Order: sequence, then structure tokens, then C-alpha cells
Amino acid sequence: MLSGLIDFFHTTGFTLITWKMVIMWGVVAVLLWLAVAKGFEPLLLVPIAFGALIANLPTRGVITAQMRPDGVYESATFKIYGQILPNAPAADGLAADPTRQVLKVERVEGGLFDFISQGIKLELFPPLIFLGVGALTDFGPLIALPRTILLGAAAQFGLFVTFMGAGFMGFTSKQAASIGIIGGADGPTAIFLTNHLAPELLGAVAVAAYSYMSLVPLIQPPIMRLLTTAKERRIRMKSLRHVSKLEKLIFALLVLVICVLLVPDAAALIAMLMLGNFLRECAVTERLVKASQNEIINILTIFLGTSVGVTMAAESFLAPATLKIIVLGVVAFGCSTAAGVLAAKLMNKLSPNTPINPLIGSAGVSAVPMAARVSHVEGQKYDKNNYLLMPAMGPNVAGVIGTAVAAGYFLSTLGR
Amino acid sequence: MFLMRLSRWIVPNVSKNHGRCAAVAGGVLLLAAPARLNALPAYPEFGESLVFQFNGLVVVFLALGLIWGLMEALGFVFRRIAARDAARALLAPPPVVATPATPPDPAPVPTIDPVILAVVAAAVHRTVGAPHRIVGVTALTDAVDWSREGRRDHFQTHRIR
Repeated sequence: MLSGLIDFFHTTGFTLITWKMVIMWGVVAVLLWLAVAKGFEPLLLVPIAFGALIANLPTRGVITAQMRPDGVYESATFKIYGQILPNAPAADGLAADPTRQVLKVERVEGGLFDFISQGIKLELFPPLIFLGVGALTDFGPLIALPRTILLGAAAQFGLFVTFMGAGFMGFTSKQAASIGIIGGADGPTAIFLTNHLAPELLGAVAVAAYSYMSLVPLIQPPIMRLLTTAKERRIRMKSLRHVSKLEKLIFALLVLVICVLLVPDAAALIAMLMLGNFLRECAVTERLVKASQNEIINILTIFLGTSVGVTMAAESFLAPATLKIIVLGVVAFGCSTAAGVLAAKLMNKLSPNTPINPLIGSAGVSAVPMAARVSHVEGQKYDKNNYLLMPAMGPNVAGVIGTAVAAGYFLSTLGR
Repeated sequence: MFLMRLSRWIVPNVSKNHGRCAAVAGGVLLLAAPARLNALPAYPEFGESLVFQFNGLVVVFLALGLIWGLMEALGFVFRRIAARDAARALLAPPPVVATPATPPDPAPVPTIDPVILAVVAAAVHRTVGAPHRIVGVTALTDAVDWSREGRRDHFQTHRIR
């Protein structure tokens, strides 16, 4: 009887627990605490933390793909059962090709996350999430005050600075680009790029990106205050003009065409973003807009979060590189914030008659709408009747486009 | 001198001592950079990395700058069209109305409830404070202001961490 119990014990997962797994349980606990108790980006951190827990338990049937030494799961590990039908006629009806055989698939075996993770590996989830983001985004403030789009461009400075910093710390150029994109504060774009260039860093980059996005209200204000005077923080901006529906529709098409022509590698992201936005603004596809804004983006967020979490196996996550990524991520974020604020100040120097409040420059990092709210709140600390929320939404949504373009540049130059 | 003024413009809220410390730290970093060059991967090298970053920023600014320019042009056209439509509406002759056989009763002149007038006057007094004169009270017909105010109010109810 005892031997039977011992045999049974060997079939349980207890014998497969490692000390690294236990450490990762602590990491999971911290992520869950941040998400649940502190409310930091819970929609993403909860699925990511759960995925990480799944990855660090001796599961069966959840993910069967083998992990390479660099921490990347092999993708083609499905077991396919079927019959080979020799000398099958060609699909186009021509004579049978003797070199061709047809496999009649009867069953495909794989773990749950072998299938779900294909959404990341095949780069489906980030563009589809961008469909929902587009359907949720109002580009009206940006169209009403188009020059604020340059603040979204300036805020990409942090990406490129961090690229060099990561190079100094020993990362390869592809890894450095994946780390730098954290400064764009755009989770789906960071995942999209990292999966393409440095999939071994996917877990660490995603966790850093989403953690810093949730910490925008803590990271940005000191930098904003450091770089501006009290007088600059009190600058009031004119009310934004009304933007017609036709302008919004033309804007969506214009952004799509320009960005795809310049950086075709960002086409998947930009196309879906602008498709979602066009659906929203054309006002005749209400059901599709609702689906994009709710069901599609919500379901994909669960799948994306857990799939990213599953990549956080102890073997790949508990490495010095993770700590470096966390440090570089905050550098990227800080530099992007500073560049946005300084660009706004420069614009005031060049065009003193129509000043803009430099506080909205920090909203050039994506993190929609958190960064815009931070600009608004900071402005109200110095002038209670100064409403910067809508002007700040301009650079905020411009940051989404800017980060996607920067990702396209990295893909075009490093992804070959 | 120019560099000092530039640094004061970039970071206005820092004392001279802090500024000197930052300058020294920056110098140390610059000096340390060549020592770290060998830590860079074979591709890109330091010079290549600088060019790579510059090119990246150029691409981003080019894309967004193009959008900016086109949106300014488009906005100009749309504002002109709106202004032209408004001017046409003002210049258009009043619609001809057939004279009925018997003149109808004069249409009632829209009046504002005295209570609302009192509330508006009180609100203006509370907000402006200084001596003032209300020259007109008009109901808002454009719903944008109300929705914007509602949005502002809604955002203010959120607790910012």
C-alpha cells in the first residue's frame, strides 16, 4: 500500500517544484497585489500574473511546447494525427502530382496555451487590440490642434535614447529596440515588436511596459515640474474648435496612407487602429464599433495577458537581464516625458503668440488617457480653472501613432 | 554663456549647485561612454547607433509632420467652408411668406423666466466678482459645450493615483 502511495506521489506535481518556481510565485503575488490592492492596470496585470503562475506550476496539458535555452517556446510542437492520402488529385483539378501527398488531419493535440499563444506568435493579438483602441479613441482634439501631434513625435525620443543605453548594457540591437519601445508606453506595440525582434524578452518587456504605464501618475509629475516654471504651468489654452465628421474620416485615411507608405512594417498596427477609428467615426457601423470597443478588445486582453504571462517561466524571467530591463524601462519613460515637455517649450519659443501649456507635452507618451489626465491634474494644481484634459488628449493619441511608427522603423531596419 | 542659458531654459527649477553637479555627472558619463563601447554588439557600433537613432527620429517626425501639415491644410479648408456658409446664411434674404388674408396673432416674444435670470445674475456675480454688466442672456444651442463640461466633470470624479 505504501509503495502505491509513493508511486502516486511521484505522479503529482510536488516532485517537479523547483526553488525558482517558488521565487516566481512571489513575483506573481507582487503583481497580483499591485493589480488588485493598488489598482495598477488590473485589466492586464491580473491576466499576466495568472499566466505567470500557470507557467511556474508543473502543469499538464496547458502548454506542451518545449522551451529553448533562451526562454522561447518552440511554436511547432503540435501533434497531428491523420492519414496520408497518396496520389491525391491536385486542388486545381489538374492531373495528380506524384510528388504531392495530402494529409487528412483527424486530430491536433497540444496544450491550451499552445493554441492561445499562437495569437502572439503569429502577431494577431496586438493588431486586433489596436482595432479596439481605434474604436475607443477620439482624434478630435488632435485634429482641432494639429501641431500637438509633434509632441507625440518628440516623446519618442526616449525610445531611441534607451536603445543606446541598452546597447551599453550589453543587449543586442534587436533586444535594445524591444526594451526602448517601453518608453512609448504602448503595451500592444511593445509586445508586437518584442515578439518579432527579441521573443526571449517578451515577459520582462511586457511586465515593465504595463507596470510603468500604471505608474505614470508617479513617474511623470516630478519630471514635468522640474522642466517647467510655475508661469508656464499656468498657461491657458484656447478652447478647441468643433471638428466635423468628414475631417475625422479623412484623418483616419490620411494617417493610414502616410504611415503605411513610410513604414510598411507598421501596417498591421496602423491599419487596424485606423479601421477601428473609421468604424467609430463613420457612425453607420454601430454594432461593429460596440464589438470592437467591448467584446473583441476584452477577450483579446485576457488572451494576450495570459499568453504573455505564460512566457514568464522562471528559467527565462529570473535573469539579470530582467532587472536591467526594469531599470532601462523607467529611463525610457522618463526621457520620453522630458522630451515631450521640452518640445512644448520649444514650440512656445517659436510661436509665442499661441502658447501651449508645456505640461501637455508629457502626454506625448501613449498611455491613453492616463498621461492626459496627469497633465490636467498637474495644471489644475497651479490654476484651478485651467482645463488641460482635452488639449492633452491631442499629443496623447499622437503618441499612439508615433510609437507605432517607431516600432515600424525598428522592424524595417532590424527585423530583416 | 549660451550653454548656461540653454541649461537654465531646459531645467529652470534647479539651483546653481545642482546644475554644476548635473554637468559633472554628464561629463563623467560622456567620458565613461568610450570605455563601454566594447560592450556594444557588433552591429550597430557607436557611430552607427547614433545615426540609427537620428534616422529613427527623422522617420517619426517625418510621418507625424506630414500628418500635421496635411491636417493644418485640411483644417484651413474646413474653417473657410464653415465661415463661408455662415456668411451666406447671414446674407441670405429672409424667406418670403405668403400674406394671409387675415393677419395672424402676433407670435409671442420668447422671454426668459425671471427666476433663471436671477440665477444667472447671481452666478455671474459669484464668478466674476468685479463690477460687471450683463448685456444678454442666450440659451446655448450648441451641445458641444455641455458635453465637454460633462466630460470634465466626469473626469474630475476619478481619483488620480
